[in-house]
Amino acid sequence: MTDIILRTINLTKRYKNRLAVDHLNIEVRQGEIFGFLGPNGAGKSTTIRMILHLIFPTEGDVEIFGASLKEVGHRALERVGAVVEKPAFYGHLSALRNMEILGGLQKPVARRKIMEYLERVGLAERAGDPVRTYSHGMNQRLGLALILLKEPQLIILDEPTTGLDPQGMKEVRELILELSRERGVTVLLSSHLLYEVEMIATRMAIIHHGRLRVGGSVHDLLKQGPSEVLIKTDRPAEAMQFLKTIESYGSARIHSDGGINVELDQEGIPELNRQLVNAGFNVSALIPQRTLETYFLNLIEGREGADNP
Amino acid sequence: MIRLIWFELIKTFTRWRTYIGFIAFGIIVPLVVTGLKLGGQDSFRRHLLSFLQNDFIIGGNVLNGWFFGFFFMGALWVHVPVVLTIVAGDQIAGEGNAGTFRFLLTHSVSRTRIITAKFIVTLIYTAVMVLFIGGLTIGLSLWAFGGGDLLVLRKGILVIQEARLPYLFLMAYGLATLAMFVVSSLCFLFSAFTDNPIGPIIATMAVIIVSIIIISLPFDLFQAIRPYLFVNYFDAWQKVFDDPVPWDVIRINIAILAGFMVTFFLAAVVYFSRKDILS
Amino acid sequence: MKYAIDTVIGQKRVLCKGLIIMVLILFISIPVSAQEKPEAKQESTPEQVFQAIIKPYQSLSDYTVKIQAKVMIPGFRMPDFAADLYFKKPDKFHIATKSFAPIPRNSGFFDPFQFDPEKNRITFIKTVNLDDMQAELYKVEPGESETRVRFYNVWIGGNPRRILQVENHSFKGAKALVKLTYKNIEQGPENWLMPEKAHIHLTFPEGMQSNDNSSFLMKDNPVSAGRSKPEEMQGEGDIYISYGDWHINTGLDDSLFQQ
Repeated sequence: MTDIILRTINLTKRYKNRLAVDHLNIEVRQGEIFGFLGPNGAGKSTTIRMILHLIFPTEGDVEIFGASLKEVGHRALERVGAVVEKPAFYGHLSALRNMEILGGLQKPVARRKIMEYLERVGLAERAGDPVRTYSHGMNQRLGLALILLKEPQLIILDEPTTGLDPQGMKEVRELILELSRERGVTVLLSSHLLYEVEMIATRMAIIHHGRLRVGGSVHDLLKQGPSEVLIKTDRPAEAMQFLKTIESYGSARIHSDGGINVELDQEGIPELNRQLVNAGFNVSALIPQRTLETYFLNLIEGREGADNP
Repeated sequence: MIRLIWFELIKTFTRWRTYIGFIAFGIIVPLVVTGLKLGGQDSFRRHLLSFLQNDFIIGGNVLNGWFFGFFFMGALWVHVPVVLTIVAGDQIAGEGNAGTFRFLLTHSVSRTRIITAKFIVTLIYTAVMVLFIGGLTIGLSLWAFGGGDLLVLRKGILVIQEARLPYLFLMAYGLATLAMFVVSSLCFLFSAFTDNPIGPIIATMAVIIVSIIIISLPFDLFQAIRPYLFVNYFDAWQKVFDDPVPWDVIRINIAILAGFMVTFFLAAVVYFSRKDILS
Repeated sequence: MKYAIDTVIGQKRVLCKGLIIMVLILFISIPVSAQEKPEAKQESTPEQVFQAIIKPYQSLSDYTVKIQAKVMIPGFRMPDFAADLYFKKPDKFHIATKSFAPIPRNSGFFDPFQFDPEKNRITFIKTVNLDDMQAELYKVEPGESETRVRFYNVWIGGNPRRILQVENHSFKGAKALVKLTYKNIEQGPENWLMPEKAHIHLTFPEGMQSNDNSSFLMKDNPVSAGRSKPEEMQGEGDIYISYGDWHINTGLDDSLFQQ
């Protein structure tokens, strides 16, 4: 049986009259990259903070590597590395000093090792500069270097690519994949960049209003229900009227950017193209829309069914 | 724990704001000593010795460095807490404000140990500040005004021979440091409640000032609650300048001040251990 | 005949001797009897008495003396202190000491010219018995330039005659009674009769207190340290001073007394 590295058990957080997290049950397995999604205010950050012992649950518990957070407290975080929201450092101290302090709380860390990880994230040359002179992207990279320094077995990342340029984002994704595939590190990744989660996550959970809406393998969830195709033509209004006359394209509707959305599996795209071209329409693009974003938006807006993993 | 304390020392003593107090007193004290040297002594002479000079000619160096060192100690009770709260108030609230708890507390190191390390460093800073002020005031005063016996006005006149004064001032500054520990501890506690470092500074100074007003007013109710206010024991340091030295009373004052300090610290630990870190 | 003449001459010699003896007795007894009568005027005026007291010190220009003092005044807690006192004619004084040294004004310093008749009005009061010694009590009233002391009572007696005791009465009601004992100080060919010990008994009828008792605030406010005002003290106390190591006429410079 696959090891459960992280498990939340009826995890609940109530603030006076507001239920921020409502009896949440998720499991993260050994070696997987777990996507944790939800709109703003859904309870993602609250959940992550409860997992990291920054916030105390009203009810429920978290188990990390089988240890109950309620029973052993901070000791459960020994093999966990996390970046929560924007990484925050002691701005008046250098990156090197910050790593020594924040990375050396449990046991001392050699400078050589610190420099190795700073090199890895491209900050070795600025190691001696005060962190307050760093850009947002550099801060993010320093945060990653810091958690890597701990050589954790579970990494929790909250918006890890925020502020990074495309090259930086790519490097972070590759790093996460490398950690997962080559070192067997388990990753819990919370991001609003859904395409990122789609690219690298193996399993995911979506929460909304503090409750789990759906969870499971990304591939399986995306396969559920119909997919969509976005059509770009020279005469979208007429094209839509045409499609409406054909039963199998009855779901056609105008997309916000002027194209046409039609519920259709990928296999039906060539036939759709032939139909439009034969009808005299110039088709400039046919784009499959069955992405995590549409799934997510549909789910949140109530067009997708909710299911528990 | 030593390593945690070392880290906290680095965090605290590499900030420029930690040195505001040192700079401020480093400027103010020499200025005051200069002013006294240039003529302020006359005012002291009139105030202090006028009642004696009707009937006595006073020989010896009365307005000496020890006297002004004693005077400075009594005059600094509002000013020293201000500079102490700048650091104490930032210890917990500052980290919350900066968001560094998100890294600091997501390790397998207990909040209690981290808070304790911060508290110890707060006390270290307090002791260094008080002793710096003491060394500066007495050192500069002795250099400017010379030595001599110390004249203390309390329950009549008490003259203490110079040979005893270094030891007595050391004891007095030890007790003054303990009193300031209480101030720092209270500010540290307030710092646990908030993410804004300014709040604990204002709250602590407000408590001190209101408490001083309460113990100064001769109303029965105020005098009844006076023993429960820590500012009431701010004068523990004065008691060593007495003959005989009331060691029993001093021991009780030490116990009370230590009690306040420990209470404030434990309250901070208990509160912070269960506080939701939202920043 | 010769016998008769011899007898008459002998009788005259006896008579002369007797007369001489009687005269001598008379001369001696008159002063003695004059002393025993309290109302009887001195053979000298008070001014002359005090001139005679001052005379041995006429050639004294300055002196230096080391003193040891013990203060026993309630409310005045201090260790014994030592000091060097300097005096220069006519009335300059200087104290040099590391300790806190309160010297009673107008009574702690030995000023042989203090009661100069040219500066004071002196009145004989009576003859008294002072410590089994006969002494004359005078009242000395300083000139108008004196602002502190209303008058002195001065006891003079002993052999050689000297000031045995002084009691000064200040305008503010304080009193200081100084009892002096003397010692002969030999310095080269000169001999000086200088004080050896002084016992000063002080009386402060209103206590030693400052004028400001009007503060509303609690006086034992712990944060008012260093700025407290003196409180009331009891009105009597003693100071004991021992003088030693006199150096007279060493040529002290005026600059010493400007410190």
